[in-house]
Amino acid sequence: MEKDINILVIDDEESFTFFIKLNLETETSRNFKVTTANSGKEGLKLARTIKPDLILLDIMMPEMSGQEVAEELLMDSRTKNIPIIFLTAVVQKEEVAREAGLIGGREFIAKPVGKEELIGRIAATLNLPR
Amino acid sequence: MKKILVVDDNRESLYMLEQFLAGNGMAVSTAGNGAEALQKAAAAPPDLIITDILMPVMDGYMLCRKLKSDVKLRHIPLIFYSATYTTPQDEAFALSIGAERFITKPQDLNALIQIINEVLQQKQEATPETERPLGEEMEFFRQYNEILFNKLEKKIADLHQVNQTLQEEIAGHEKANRKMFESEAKYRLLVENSSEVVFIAQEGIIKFINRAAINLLGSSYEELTSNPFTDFIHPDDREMVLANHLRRLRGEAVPNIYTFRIITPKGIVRWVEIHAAIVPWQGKPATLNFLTDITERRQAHEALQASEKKYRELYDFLPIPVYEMDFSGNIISANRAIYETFRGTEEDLKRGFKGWDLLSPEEVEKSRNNIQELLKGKLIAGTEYKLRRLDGSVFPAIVISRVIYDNDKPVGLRGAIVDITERQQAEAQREASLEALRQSEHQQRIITDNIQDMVWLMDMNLHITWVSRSVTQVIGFTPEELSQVSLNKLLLPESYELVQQLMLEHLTNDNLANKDKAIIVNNEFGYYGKNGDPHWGEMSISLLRDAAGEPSGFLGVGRDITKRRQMEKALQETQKQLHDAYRLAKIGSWSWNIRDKSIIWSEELYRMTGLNNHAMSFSDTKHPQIYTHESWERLKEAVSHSLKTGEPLQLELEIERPRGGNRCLNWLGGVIYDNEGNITGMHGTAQDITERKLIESELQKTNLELACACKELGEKQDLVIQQEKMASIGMLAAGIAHEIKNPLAIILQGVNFLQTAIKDNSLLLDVVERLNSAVLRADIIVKGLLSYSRQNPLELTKQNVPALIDESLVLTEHEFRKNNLQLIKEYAPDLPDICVDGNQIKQVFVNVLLNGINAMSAGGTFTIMVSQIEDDNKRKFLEIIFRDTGHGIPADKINNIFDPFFTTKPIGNTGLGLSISRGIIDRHDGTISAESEAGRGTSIIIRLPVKL
Repeated sequence: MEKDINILVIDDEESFTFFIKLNLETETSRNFKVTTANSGKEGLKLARTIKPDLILLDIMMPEMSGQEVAEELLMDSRTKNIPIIFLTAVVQKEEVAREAGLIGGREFIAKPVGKEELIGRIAATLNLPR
Repeated sequence: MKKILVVDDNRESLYMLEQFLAGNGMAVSTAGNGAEALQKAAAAPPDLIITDILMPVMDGYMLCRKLKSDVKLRHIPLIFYSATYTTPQDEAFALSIGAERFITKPQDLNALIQIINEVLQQKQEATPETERPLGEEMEFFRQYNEILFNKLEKKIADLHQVNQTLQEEIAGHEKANRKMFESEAKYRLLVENSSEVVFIAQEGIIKFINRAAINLLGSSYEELTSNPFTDFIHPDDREMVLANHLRRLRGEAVPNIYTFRIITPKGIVRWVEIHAAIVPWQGKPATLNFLTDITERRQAHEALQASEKKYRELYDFLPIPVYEMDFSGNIISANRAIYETFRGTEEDLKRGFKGWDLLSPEEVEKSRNNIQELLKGKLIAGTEYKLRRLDGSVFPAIVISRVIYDNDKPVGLRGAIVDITERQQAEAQREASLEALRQSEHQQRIITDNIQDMVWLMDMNLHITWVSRSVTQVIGFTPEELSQVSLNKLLLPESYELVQQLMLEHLTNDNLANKDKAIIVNNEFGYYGKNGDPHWGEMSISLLRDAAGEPSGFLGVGRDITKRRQMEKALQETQKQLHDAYRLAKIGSWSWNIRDKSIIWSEELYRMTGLNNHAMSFSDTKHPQIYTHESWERLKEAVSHSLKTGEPLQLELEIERPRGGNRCLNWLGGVIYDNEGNITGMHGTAQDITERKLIESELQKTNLELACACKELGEKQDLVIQQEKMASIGMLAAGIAHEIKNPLAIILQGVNFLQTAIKDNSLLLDVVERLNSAVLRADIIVKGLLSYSRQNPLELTKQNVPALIDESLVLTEHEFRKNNLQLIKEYAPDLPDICVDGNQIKQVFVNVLLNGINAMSAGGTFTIMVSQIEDDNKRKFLEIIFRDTGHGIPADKINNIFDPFFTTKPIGNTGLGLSISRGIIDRHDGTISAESEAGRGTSIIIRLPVKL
């Protein structure tokens, strides 16, 4: 049994985090273990405690935006090396380059995203075997 | 004596009736209205009341009603005697309220008396009187009111009518008065200013005389009107004039027109003609007289008579036979010498005798020919005839004849006869013949002195040897003076030149040698009068030959035409002025003769049109070439219309100029009629309106430009509106994208889960798969919207457009191959690189390519052309045309293809591609447009500005 891959999903859409967890954890080929947070604050706290292997971070969230969360994570030595894949319903691929400067050159997935693409991107980011 | 009470508000009627009845032995009392009548009747009951209907205070009906209701008065009979506007109802009503009679005016007054007597008679018999049942009170008032109302209405209408008539009459009177006044004033003015003397005389005294008299009679108005007019009449005529005047006043028949002499206080005598008529003046008859000064007329008449008498005497006692004859041969007059020559009396010659009878029979034909020649205006110096005397003897003579004209109509011949018996007898002797010639000259002189023609003789050395009196009269030189003047001094230089030229021409040796050759020259010559004024004469000059046939001199006969010349010159002057006016106004004139098919243009018209005017006229076959084809067609139509209807023509025509610069002329014309009313041609004017037209067309152009500018503005406005629309759609899209994408993300994840969870149920899998594709479709649309709304700044770099197209083609290579399409590239050589955002432009190209490919699912050809063009404002563009041979776009949809969400493709397409493309091209200051034909294919034309 391979080691679990801990993934933290931070998105204010509870249904979205629910389905991500469901899809990733039911993916039999991988050992994804998914923790969900529905606000930036909660996500930041969970990131610090569970130290996930990867964080899926929604950008547009009330109170604390994904960008702010990412900045906090970067400033914390405990979390600064955790790879982050941004999720956004607003920007699109073409704009990544432009926005990269603000968000630290991280990965980016545009919503809506299919299960296969999501898993592929996670695997690529973590250099998981195909 | 019967007592009658007459009631009427009209004083005149009342008075008349009163007088009439009184005259018929009745005692009449009167009342002005019903109330007064009732009072009078109560005070002194009459035997009968006669009343009018309409009256103030109380009318006739009420009077009748009251009278007949009063027990004491009801026995008094009452007669209505009413004016106009009565109806049968009135009578019925009157009788129903107890009236005895109802009489309508006007009525024969004797009949009225009869009726009155009848009524009085009945009244007496009817005693004791029976009570007449009266109508119900209410009914009375109803009818009463109705009738009264009708009457009043009618009366008002009548009064109105009368008033109007009166006003019209007054207006008429005023007008008539004014007219009378005006005409009176006019005549007074006329009389006052008349150059003829007008005066009114009564009983030998002038009562009125106008201003002209003061000049004629040399007296003041006061003198003229205060003295007997005989003072102003020549003593010899006084008696006659006064007698005429007095007889006329008595109404006796006196000639209305006669002449007499007047004498002024200074003793000047003038002849006057009087026209007299009788008129009333201040209630008594007077004579109205018009005096005309006929002194000059009379003097002229007397002079004429004297001269005539003198001429007649001269004529009669002339030793040369002279006659006048009409063309039928009747001798109108002849002098004594004629009778002596022909040995007959006046009676012999005038009784059924013809002039021809004096000719030897074989000469008649020659004489007729001569007359014909004379009538043609030919001058014949004299013709030799054999004449026959009344006793049958024949003698040779020269007859010199001239045509007598009466008002330019030839009426007969005047001639002189020279007996040349002696001359012939002395034929051999030159001296004798010269004598005869002189004789004939003498005779000519007699004739010519009495006619206005100028006649002169000149010897072969060009010295004037003799002139007729009329020459001296015309030019002032005496024959002696003329014989001293050399011809080159006498003639105007150009005429002298002409004479020399004519001599060279006619007096050739051959002509001179030919003795039978008559040399006659007709021409106009100019010569100086004694006072240096130039004169012109129309001369017929013949070469004279002596008896041997040798040239001996010249005979000239002619008329002075200086006056005609002057008139011609004045006419020319006027024509020149007209011509100048035409030229200044740039108006030319033209005429067209139908018969000889010639067209005459004025010089100005040639000048305006710039056409050659070597010939001032040209045949109408040349006409069409002058105008542009279109103008010629219109001209033809207008001319044929005018010829048909006689209406004038007016049209603007363009003249084709040989060296370009066509002129536009406004032609006005009308038809020309001959005396029989047939159209013989047309004439008119033409005015150059090229400049005006030019200004008009400039104005039109400016207007057009303005209209274009307006249209452009409108288009720009449309574009701005479109862009606004797009921008707002974009903003909306950006706003909602996030809100849509999040739910889509959730659904997609859910769908993905279901796909793994229900692996073994194919139906559910199908359902979920459909959900999946629907979500993805929704996502594509939102993405498209976002892309549209985003305004990426352009990253302009120099790009090679063909290279960009080729790169785009690589991206669509797969689709090309799939549809098996043919590709043609037509790139112009040496295209400049242009500054564009390469990626965005590629996006446009790919989009356009994909649209084209989609339209050619059944195969076809894709043509891509690139060239450099210039627009109207000299701006350079690269024009890229993508032409497919697909199904095309229906005409009604072509304008929508650049709108967002517009698509002709099946579901699954966002309909945003071309609108995004347009946005990109717009931001490059370029244009994108489409041309399409359904079923044939579509061309997308992109223009990008060349900015180096």
